[in-house]
Amino acid sequence: MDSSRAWHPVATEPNLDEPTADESTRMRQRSERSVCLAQLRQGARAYITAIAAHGTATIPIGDVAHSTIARRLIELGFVPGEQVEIVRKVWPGGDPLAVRVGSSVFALRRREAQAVMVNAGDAAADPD
Amino acid sequence: MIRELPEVETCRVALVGPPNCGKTALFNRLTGSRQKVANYAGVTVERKEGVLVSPHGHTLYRVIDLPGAYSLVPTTLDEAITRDVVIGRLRGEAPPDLIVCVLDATNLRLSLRLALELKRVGVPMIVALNMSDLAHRRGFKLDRTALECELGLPVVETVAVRAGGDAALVEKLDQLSSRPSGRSASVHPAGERPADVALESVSHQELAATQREVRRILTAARYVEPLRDRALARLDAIVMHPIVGPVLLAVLLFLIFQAVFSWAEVPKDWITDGFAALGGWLEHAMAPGPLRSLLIGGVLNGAGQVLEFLPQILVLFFFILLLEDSGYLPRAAFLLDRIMGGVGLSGRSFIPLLSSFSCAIPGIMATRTIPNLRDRLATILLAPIMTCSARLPVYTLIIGAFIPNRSLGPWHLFNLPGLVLFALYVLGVVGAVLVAFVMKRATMRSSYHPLLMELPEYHWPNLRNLLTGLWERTQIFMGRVGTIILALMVLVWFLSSFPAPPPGAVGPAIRYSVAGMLGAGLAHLFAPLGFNWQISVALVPGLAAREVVVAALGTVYSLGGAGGASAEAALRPMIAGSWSLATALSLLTWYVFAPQCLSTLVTVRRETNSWRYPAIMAGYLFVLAYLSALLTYHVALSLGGGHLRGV
Repeated sequence: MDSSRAWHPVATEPNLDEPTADESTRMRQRSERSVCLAQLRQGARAYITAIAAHGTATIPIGDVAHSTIARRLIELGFVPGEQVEIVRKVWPGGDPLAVRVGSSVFALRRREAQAVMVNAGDAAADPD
Repeated sequence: MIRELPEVETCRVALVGPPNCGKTALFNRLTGSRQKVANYAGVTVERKEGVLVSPHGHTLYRVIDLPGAYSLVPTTLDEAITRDVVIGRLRGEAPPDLIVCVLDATNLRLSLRLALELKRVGVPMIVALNMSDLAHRRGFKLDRTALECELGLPVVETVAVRAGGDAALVEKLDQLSSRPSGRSASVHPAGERPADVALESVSHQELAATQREVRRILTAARYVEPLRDRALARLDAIVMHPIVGPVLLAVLLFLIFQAVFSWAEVPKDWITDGFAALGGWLEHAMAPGPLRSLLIGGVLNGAGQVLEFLPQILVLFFFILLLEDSGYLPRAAFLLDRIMGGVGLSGRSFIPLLSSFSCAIPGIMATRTIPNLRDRLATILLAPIMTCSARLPVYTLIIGAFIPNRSLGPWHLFNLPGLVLFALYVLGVVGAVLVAFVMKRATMRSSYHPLLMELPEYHWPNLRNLLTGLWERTQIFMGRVGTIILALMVLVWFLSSFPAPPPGAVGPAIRYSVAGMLGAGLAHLFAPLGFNWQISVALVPGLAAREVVVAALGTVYSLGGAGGASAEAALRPMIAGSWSLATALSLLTWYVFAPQCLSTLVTVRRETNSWRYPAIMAGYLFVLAYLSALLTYHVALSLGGGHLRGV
């Protein structure tokens, strides 16, 4: 399929939109330490601080690789300031895990969950 | 088909929306039964088009239901097709005049971003808030006019599952398509499609900014998010419980497996009996000759084969559609992802593989629920190794003839023939795991596909959608697969019947036919496996379907035309006297892997849209079957299994 050639990347100006004042206060209050989503316990809630822009997050997705894990996570609503909740960890090691963000629940593998940074707050992290 | 009158204007409408927004239900509501299911040229993605004639206007809408997409920057082939159609980049596909962006009203925070992205494409657009009845019941509030102002797009509420639930949308479509500026202005000059909005070069910061914009718009429209149903959340606690969840899944799968085997067996028997009766009637009504033989042996046999698959396909798809529609299927995939991931498959491969134990054809058709192309192809290639029910007659015949009916173990708990049968099933699964592992090593390195799968809310399955879905499967199977299977059956009949034996010839007639000559040639190839010429000849008509081999062996051993149980009973002592144990075991192993079933290969051709995958499948299965039968034969020989037991 020639869909890969359908898009001509055009240089766009980076729009470094800072989080709103409200969001940054909320983040500062809670960000004692940042951990990745995969380290949270079942039932834990936390706020997203960042989506990693390196490592696993940059892995391109699938056969028509245009997107990356980080991009898709943001598109699905994993944006800084949003609250997440670990709904379910089935297997030891928590792979995959069910995560609520907004009013949706997503199944993520550990690899994807490692790209989502959250502040642990009072929710203690798993030892691993 | 509706004839296009000159005064009727045609307008192409594309339905775009994220997965699980009830888009297909809305499509069914809009177009009713006036739908056509095909594939997009050259790819396996389904293309659904339907026709809607508005009650007020003089417009004929060609509605396309595009695959669900979270974004116009695709991660799957489905999403790539959606993007290409939307921006008018798909060859052979005219760009839409209008887009209906279907969003789940119960989950606008997730889906509104797609509307903003689609808006940038520049095609006139209507936003449809679907499932609005459910949303209102859960406390959904929204100032629709404010949302229209913020988006700069018309917004309507729809209830796809209720009659008339699409009225507001149809009205808005009429308004937009009749407005002179609306549609004509949207037609971009050639080469200047709005496609050049380079969405994938949008930075993460900009993406996050768009998400903040979504939240701002929702606040401005005084959006009150509907609550998730508490009872359903509790249901999730059970369904995804580490212990209860897998047990529940196992019970469900067991019930489905049972249903496919037993429920489908009844109509399957009717079909078999019906065709047998029809054949019997023809046998009396017509004079013996090649025409009668063609009608009974070729056409009736072939058509019977095609129809016999149908009950299994319908029962299986009834359950799959039920599980899919209710929202359970993604949870099952979630529970199984870890296990299936170990051999490079995804959790979604499980149901197709399981149903392949009854027959690979419905299993291969069920791979449509796997969104990722690589996972889907891997599952398709593995499906025929699962021990399908058509192998049972062959297994029963050989085991009955060679394996003594002895009890073993403590308290004679185990029965030797039962153990051998079980071992054959296990061998199939072990083979599949090995092949999956090799495929993973061979192809997985290039790309990783994350799970990132939405676990949508549970819904009551909608009967109308269920029936539409079943009807689609029936059409696909009967129309495109069935005709080829029928043709091949007739071809196999020709090969086995012509040329006729010379007058006064001794031995079975099939020996003088093309199939017989092929078999004689094949006997050289199969001699290292311990197959005699009779087996080799029987393998040729056996190409039509595995169970045909039993009847073919009957023919070769001159047992006359008697088919079914009587042939088997007569065959048992015959083969027990003329094959060694090593040959029997070798043939059993051959059947665990052998690419014997033309119907399966035809289905794979249809599902993958190329002969490449059926060729790969037949090739690897042949090599696997040959090598394992060779190994079995020689191990059995060295252990002293080469003797005839004597008649």
